[in-house]
Amino acid sequence: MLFDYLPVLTFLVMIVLLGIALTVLIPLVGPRKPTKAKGLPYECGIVPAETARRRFSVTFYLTAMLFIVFDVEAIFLYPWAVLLRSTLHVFGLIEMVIFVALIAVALAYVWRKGALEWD
Amino acid sequence: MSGLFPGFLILSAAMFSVGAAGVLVRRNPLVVFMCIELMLNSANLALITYARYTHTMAGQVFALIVIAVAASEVVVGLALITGVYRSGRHLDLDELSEMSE
Amino acid sequence: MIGAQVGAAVPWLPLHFVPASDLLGILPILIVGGGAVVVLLADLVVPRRGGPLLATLTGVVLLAALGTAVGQWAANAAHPVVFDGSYANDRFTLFADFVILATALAVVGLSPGYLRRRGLEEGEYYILLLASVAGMLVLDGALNLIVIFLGIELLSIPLYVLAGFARDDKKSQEGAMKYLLLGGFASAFLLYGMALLYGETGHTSLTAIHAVLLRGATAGQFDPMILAGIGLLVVGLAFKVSAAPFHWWTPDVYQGSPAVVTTFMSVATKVAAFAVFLRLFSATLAPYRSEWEIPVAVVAIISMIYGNLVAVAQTSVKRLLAYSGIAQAGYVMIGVAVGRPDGTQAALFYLAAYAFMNTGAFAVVTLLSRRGEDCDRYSQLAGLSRREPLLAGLMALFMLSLAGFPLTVGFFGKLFLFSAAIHDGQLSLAIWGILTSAVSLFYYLRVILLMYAPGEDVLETQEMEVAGVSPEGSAVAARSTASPAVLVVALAGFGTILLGVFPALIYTLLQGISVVHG
Repeated sequence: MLFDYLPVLTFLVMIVLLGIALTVLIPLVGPRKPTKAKGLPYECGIVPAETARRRFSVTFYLTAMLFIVFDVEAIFLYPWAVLLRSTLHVFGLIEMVIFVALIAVALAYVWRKGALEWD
Repeated sequence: MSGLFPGFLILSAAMFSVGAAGVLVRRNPLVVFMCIELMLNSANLALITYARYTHTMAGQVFALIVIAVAASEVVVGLALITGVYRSGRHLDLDELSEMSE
Repeated sequence: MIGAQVGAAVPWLPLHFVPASDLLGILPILIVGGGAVVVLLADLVVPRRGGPLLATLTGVVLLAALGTAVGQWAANAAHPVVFDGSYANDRFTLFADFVILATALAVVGLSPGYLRRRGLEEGEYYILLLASVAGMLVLDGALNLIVIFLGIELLSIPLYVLAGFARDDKKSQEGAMKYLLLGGFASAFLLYGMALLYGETGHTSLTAIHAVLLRGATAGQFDPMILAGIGLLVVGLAFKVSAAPFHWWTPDVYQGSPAVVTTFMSVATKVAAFAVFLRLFSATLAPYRSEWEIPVAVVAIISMIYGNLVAVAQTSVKRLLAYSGIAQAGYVMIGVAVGRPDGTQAALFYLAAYAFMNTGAFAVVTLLSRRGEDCDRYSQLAGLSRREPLLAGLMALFMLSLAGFPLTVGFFGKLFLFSAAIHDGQLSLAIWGILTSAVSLFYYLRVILLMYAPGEDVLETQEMEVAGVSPEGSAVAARSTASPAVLVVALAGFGTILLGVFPALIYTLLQGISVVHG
């Protein structure tokens, strides 16, 4: 009976071992040739203009939050776009119109509440 | 592909464990929140691995939905965290103890 | 039907339009979800402080959904499973719908007066409430792992915001933050459990998973990965129903949230989460019962012991009700552990009973709230019987019912659960239930004694002066302006007694209900 759980135990042990191995091995085995350019903060390839420890306006956060929501809804468009012509046809179109209409309602709400004003 | 299958599952389980440990250990709500996202994404990885392994689509659909749901959760979380920050408190979970008796 | 006609006329149109029967099956969800959009748009056009108008609109939406659910119960559809087997609109679902929608209606009745007193009149409150109700309705009939996850998140995310709705109140912020972080943590466990279950069976449909598990179990094979998945599911769901030892968030969140939100959260969330708990464990995972029976029973026993013991030490009614809620979750878990139809029916009866008595108790706390704060400390309750004899009497009734006194609905709730456990041969569950109920008498009676204790009035007035609040800001003034709220408390009290005398009114409804996959 208890023997049935052996795979779970093996699984757990392997996870722990892997975690330890990775944290120990990487600093040991990996080559280290630090240069000034490598030490700079990574900002998508752009040379950093100033230190990152700067205060941001809280509006940045608001904009970022709104961006995340509207941005992620777009992932539903990809599978839909791939399948629209082959399988979904008008049914898919109607579904997507409903979906986009709901997003539009959300946008109208955000707009009307003044969340898009910068000050 | 089948050879890599256990590898991906172990990676996802390791990510999940790291996330869970982070939630329990870290005190900064932002970091805790990132750990929760890590846990959700480890589940996503498991879902996609299994989808490939079982030759079904449900896992991929599930993962897409999880991504969208996690984004909504992030937005609510960020809003709450900024709210606490604005009320002039340090971002430390141990200091959020108005109610403990 | 319409789809078929159009499809015949236009050859490239596929025939798989959503059939009308599918849409009919989720009509209550469509009404509540569509209602949320309507209230959102209404909030944009009505002038500021349009609270009562939005409350009325929300009430109408909920009543329409409740009416639809009642109609569907009466019609007794032959094929309740819709959308390719991913949602069951059966009697189990409809009964849970009734309890959730009725609780939401009660909360909407309590809200306008409460929000005005605490200065929280924002339209978003009603939008979030409706969104959360929609999530609960999705959850209680879900027959697919994806739908379950979607339902849980749709009910949780609006609740995170509602918990922090009193933005300037540090307690509310703190409660919301804890709820969000621990709720997200629980969701991750739940999701990983679902991923394992899906991966090992190759299905997300509960019906198909059940078939695969049944094949394995009859051959005597219990897949360890599935067992790990079930373990993660137990953890995640126990979190959501606030069963010990996964209850840490409950007291702070219940205390910190505005009282109306706590009312809603404590009752409706528990009903929805237990609906999915029952469906998953009594039906889908039934073949693996020998493996999960003991862990679930242990969670039930720990919840009963821990909740009842810690409740004794509380000095705030909201915290008391939080710990009592943990204990109640333990009682309902007995129904899950028993698993058979009578366990399910007893659990459903208890949830309905809980809706009456707990909504009532929290509603009294709501009515006692003053400008800017909730009055839930014991010292603020002292001598309530002289200031508010009616409210004190009703509060005493709810306390007795929660303790399981005869002639109240709580008595039969416990009776059915314990007898289901005994019929199933799980004596230890029934014994622990009875023992901890005896302990619970102590703290419930303490609240009653406080309210009826003589000579405490002076203390109360002093405290009010210290707090800089005039006494008229409290319930007396509130009652004259908040008649729907008083109606809610009175109805909850009436229901508690009526069902305590005639439990058959609900119990006959439950006959024949069992969680099946359809």
